[in-house]
Amino acid sequence: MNKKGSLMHWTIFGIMVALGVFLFFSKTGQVDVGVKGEWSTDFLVNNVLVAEKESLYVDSVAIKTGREIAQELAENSGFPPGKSSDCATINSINLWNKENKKCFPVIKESLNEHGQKKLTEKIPQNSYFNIEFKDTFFLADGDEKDIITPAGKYYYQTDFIVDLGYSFQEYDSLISTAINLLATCQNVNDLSTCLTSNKLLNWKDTSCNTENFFAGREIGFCVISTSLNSVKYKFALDFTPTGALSVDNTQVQTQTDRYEISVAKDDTADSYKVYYTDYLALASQTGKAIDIFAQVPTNLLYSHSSWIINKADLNTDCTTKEIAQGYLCEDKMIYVVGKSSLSQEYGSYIFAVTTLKSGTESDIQSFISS
Amino acid sequence: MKRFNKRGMLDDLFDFLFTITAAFFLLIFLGAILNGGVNESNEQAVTKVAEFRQTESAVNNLRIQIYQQDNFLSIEEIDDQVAGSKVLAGRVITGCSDYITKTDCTGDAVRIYTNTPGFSCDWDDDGECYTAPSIT
Repeated sequence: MNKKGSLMHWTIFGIMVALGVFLFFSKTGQVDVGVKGEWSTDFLVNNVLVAEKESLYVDSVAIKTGREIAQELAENSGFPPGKSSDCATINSINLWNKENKKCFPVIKESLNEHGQKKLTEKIPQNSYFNIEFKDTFFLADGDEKDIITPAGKYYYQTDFIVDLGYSFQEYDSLISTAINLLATCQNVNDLSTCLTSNKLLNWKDTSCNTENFFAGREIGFCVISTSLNSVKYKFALDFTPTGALSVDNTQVQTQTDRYEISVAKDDTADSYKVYYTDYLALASQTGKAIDIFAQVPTNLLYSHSSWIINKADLNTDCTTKEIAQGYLCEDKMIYVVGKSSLSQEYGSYIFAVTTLKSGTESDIQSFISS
Repeated sequence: MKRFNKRGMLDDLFDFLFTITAAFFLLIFLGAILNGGVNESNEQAVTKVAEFRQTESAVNNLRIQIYQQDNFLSIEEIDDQVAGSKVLAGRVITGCSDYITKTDCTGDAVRIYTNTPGFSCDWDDDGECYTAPSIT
């Protein structure tokens, strides 16, 4: 074999040895073909997905926390837990008013105060700022965190925005309804009837099931949220009259020589005022007596007048009643009007009664015909 | 001028044929080895991507559960439920609410609650599958 031929043989032999070494190490796993996209999938699984799971956990806690905040504020009348209304409380329920003083909760302040506290308590490993409740969403900015693995370093934000399915704007309509209810019923004698006929259907007493509004004039309410059943607003309203109470259910008993006008007694009133007129067109009028009787024509012989009966002058012996006297019989105030004192002894009249308190007079709620 | 004799020419021809033959087998060998490795690598890559997608879908399923069912999950529960998710006809099932047919739901087709005694999947009147305490 010449030199050229010998080199060729050795080259082939060398290649075969190299191949043998390669195969040997391939079998033992020391030399292998790398998996395509291994780094990418490792990065996604060990970094991105871990961050996703963390984010899911934060969302889960945020929803739970947001709903707890809603429940706790509602339970404490819209005030942060532990804080009381400036209008005091009844049976641990905050009053939203005290006579004329209004103490409605400022929800935005309550949320900022309580939201930050709850988030720190529930997710202590993260810190949150710019906490907001917009419509039904609960959102907050969080710190940047990172996850370091052999595949690399992954940064992510711990911010969250979750839908609570509940809006704190419910307080606006609740407060607005409370203001209307106070305006309608605060100066009404029969508070229970007024509340029953004017409150919304989902307004219950503090048991949240029944509608017993009979105890006093500071009334506790429970309103279950229409969007989130677990949110039960508990608050109280003070219906203590700020002026004279208007009079309902005036009754007239006609006798031969007299009319007996009776109304439910009003412990808050200083005195009662009984009106009459023969101008029957006023029968359906309500409002201030001075405005109503200003409508009586002065040039057509119509008459109207009134009598004031001081509470201190009321007689409690009801066995016999005298004309032009007031009586307190059980739970009724009765005033006896002599027919002879009216302008036409046998004409038709309508009567109305108001109460006076500290110089203010209640509105006329209705007239009653003789 | 140099002239080849007959023996030298025959020797060169055998060298040439030997080289061709050796190279042929070598290349077949190399091709088989490398192809095998690449196929295995592809399979592993596809499996990893599928696992990633399953995990991602499971996380999304849990996100929906949290919103729809007022369902609070701890980080351990998230890990457990993601790890326990299964694939049914290309759809990742993480909880009862991921079933879309009554048969799959009531039979718990992928046995998502097999290892969780006291729970089962029930079909409600609105046509949705929900997790219920087992009646059996």
